[in-house]
Amino acid sequence: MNRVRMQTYDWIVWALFLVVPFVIFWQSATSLADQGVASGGPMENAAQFPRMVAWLLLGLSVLNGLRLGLNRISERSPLEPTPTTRLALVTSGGFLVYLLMLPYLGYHLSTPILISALLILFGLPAIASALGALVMSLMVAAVFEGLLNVVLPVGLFQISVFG
Amino acid sequence: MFDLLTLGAPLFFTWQAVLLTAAGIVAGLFIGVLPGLGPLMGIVLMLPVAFHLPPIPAMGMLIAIYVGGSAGGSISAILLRIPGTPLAAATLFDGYPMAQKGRAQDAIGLSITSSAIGGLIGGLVLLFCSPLLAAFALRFGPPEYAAMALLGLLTIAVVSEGSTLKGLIAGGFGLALATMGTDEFTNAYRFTFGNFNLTSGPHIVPVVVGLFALSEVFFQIESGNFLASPNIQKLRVSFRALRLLAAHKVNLVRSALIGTLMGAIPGAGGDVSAFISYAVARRMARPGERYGEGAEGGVVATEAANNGCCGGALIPSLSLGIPGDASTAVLLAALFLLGFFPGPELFRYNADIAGGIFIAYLMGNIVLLVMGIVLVPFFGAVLKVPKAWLLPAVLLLSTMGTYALQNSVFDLWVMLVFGAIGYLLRRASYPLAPIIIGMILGPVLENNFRRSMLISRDGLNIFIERPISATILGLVAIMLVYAVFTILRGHLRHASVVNSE
Amino acid sequence: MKMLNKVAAAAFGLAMLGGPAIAEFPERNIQIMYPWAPGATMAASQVIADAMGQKLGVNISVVSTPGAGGVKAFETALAAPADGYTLFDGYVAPLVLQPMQGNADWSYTDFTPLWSATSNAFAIAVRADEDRFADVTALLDHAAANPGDLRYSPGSAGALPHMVAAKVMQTTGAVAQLVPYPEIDNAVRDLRGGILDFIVINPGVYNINKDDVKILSVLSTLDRSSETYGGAPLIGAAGIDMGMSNLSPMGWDWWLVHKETPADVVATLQAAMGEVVNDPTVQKKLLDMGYVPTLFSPDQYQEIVGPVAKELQGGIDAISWEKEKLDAL
Repeated sequence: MNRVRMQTYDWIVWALFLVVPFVIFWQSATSLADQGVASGGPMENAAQFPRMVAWLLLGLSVLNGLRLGLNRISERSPLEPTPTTRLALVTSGGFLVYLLMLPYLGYHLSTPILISALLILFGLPAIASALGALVMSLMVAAVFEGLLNVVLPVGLFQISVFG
Repeated sequence: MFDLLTLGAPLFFTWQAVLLTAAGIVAGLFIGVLPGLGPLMGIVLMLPVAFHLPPIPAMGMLIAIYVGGSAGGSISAILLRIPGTPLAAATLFDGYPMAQKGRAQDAIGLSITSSAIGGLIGGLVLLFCSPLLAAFALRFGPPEYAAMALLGLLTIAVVSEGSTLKGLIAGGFGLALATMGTDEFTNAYRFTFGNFNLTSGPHIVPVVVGLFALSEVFFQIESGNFLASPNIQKLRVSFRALRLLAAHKVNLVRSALIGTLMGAIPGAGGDVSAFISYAVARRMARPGERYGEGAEGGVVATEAANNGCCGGALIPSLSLGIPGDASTAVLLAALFLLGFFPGPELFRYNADIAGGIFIAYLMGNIVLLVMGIVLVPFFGAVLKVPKAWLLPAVLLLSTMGTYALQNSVFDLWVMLVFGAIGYLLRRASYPLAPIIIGMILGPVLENNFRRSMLISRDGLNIFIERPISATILGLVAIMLVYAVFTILRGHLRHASVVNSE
Repeated sequence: MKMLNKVAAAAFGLAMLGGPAIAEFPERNIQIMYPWAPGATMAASQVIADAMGQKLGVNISVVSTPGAGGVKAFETALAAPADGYTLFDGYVAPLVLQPMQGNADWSYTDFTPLWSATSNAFAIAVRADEDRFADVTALLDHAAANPGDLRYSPGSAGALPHMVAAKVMQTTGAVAQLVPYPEIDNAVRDLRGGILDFIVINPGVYNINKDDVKILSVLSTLDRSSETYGGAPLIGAAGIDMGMSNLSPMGWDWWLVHKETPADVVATLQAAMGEVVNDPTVQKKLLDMGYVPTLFSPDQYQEIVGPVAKELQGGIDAISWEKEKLDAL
């Protein structure tokens, strides 16, 4: 058990890569077969190459699984949270919320909020964070909207500053 | 080759291209200086911006970041004993001891000047070799391209850092990702799960940004110390290093050539070339030089090699479309998205673009020589910027850069998912570069394979009937034997260690 | 603080119960969703977008969103609000072809047209030093007498050039091995290298490969198409009726907006685009690139696009016929 724990990340990634071939086989047998492109010659068979890749991945994964199972692997990869791992997860959560809100609030409302929250979380004073976040998001907007003519998400309030 | 330069010159010598190349060097240097952010990250962050520019200013900027970033990593290695990039790991051996003896100024000067001159030597080799290689590759047809793709993929998986098996798995994963989207032959949707955003597969930019930049931000947050600001020696602007460098002419040229050669082999990369040229320089050194205790020659060897390597890596990338390392893979993707096909066609139809890229590379190294020295005092200052400010900036640039590419929020979700995947893979010590190479070479491999089968009148024989393709496949076989051998040897060695315990 | 002004303006607009805030259209940058990868054809759209942006006083960026034979760009634009800030670069493939093949659930009548943009005819090309076939009749006769002996590429499979070529071959009973390439640019290399016997080229690619290829026949019924290929003969000159006429056998695009776009916004866009495509300097720029401005006004949309669908069905059938013949080899 302890041995498995020593290689937690290795096992997670192993499982992740093991899923890929099965997704390929499943999709080939369903979606691709339905479209009539899962058999035939090089012109018609869109599933042939993905299946070859799937077998390759499957073979390599089995080999890697054996290596892990028999403990024939030198690198350790235990789950070892650092004191700031929780903060990293909170940041990721915040970023997730940001992505969810971006289409509705638009760039110019949601970005300063996200950035100032991050700056505060990383230990900077609130006022410096708010100002820094505003400057940072305006600078990025100036480059993308102003110089490169990108339409950044305008959101429900249709806000654009340099566009 | 000179006609390439004359064709490229009008494209390059515009205020926009020159300015962006210079800006790219400066940005690259600073990004390289900051621990954790290498040239690849710099290219990745600026990639989306590049798509909104004309081709030569865009490629000039990206290549300059590549050049500047490869050089900048040595500065934090010298001052703080933290290599800014893995490329600079070998610079530690003598750069840090030099700094401890109070010669940080000289060490940085030497590292910048030898980087720039090493880069220029690599550039000259690039200028001579790639048109020749491209002319040869004009004889390539689908079977040759399929075989080349296989070779490139296998090499990067085998040579990249970490276990060969994990490299192969990562490469295979890249191939699998590349099959997503619309099949080129049947126009069928593959692995799109009914989502129209996936009808051309996941875009390479969010994948790269997620795997490299986002996972790095997570790592950096986990390592804490947000407000720390290290003590740095006082630094001045001084051109004394050029005089010091004169004593190491042979070492400089030799190391640059080793770097270029290693760079031209797909997958070998800058870090390997730096270690090799360091080892060679050390063996060739006079007894009094005392490598490892602050020898100037050590810094010269590693830095000349890792920038010469940039020029080398561009050779197969531009003339064959087979990337030399992860950074050039992303540069290739950029060229592709700007509407140009790297490979012999580039030299034939867009000789001006190829020429412009060469000039940008050469000029970049000249700018590096000047700016690298002028900016020395600022590098110290940048190293003092706390991470608390840096990380949100990286996150914001990654996000908006990725969004700007296709004005798509979906791409941001792709970026986030690959950020998580990148984090897990790095924790489990998988190399990430093969994934990118796999994504780029996957379609080359699959489509040329199927095309070959359509063209062929007797099946797979087409691959061995054509001499060039047969030769390349011979190399593939050698690589395969080597891969199996290293995997087995790893096992045997490990087994013997376990037994002796 | 410009942003605060905008917030205030938005709030004011809301307070006026959605008063005619749209009257100042356009007040920010416009994007046009382009359905292919960047390249020569995108540059043609860019020329029109730049000129039109100047007229409107904002920037119009051409956003390349390739995928699913052009459907992805349409889906992306359809997901955007119908406010005139997102335009469709309505290429024939996503507009007419993909719905016909059941890959998209719209019809060309579901959009409001601006002006038509450009067209380009396709042509059959062989190596410059090809001596086996003096003209297109010799080529097609050989392919009919020796089915599958020749190898050809129309660029990507199932796309418009493929349909037109298949239709010509069906008409003459010619059968050649199909070898698809993502872009016809890549096929030129293998034509030159002797791997392919002929390709179906477009004017943009012909322009940069003039020395390497010889045009046997231009697959069009319009004399103007011949000019973009240095005066090469039209397919009709060989006595072949390919059953497609006018715009049908050509690549073309018509700029469009959402059906629900407010009428005044549509009028502004139509006026600007009309001025641009009728401007001689813009026309010259496009012609130099091998793209012929088609100059159909918004009113002609139904009358021009309507018949295309019917004639393209012939092309789709021709591809099925070709597949049958190739499978039987």
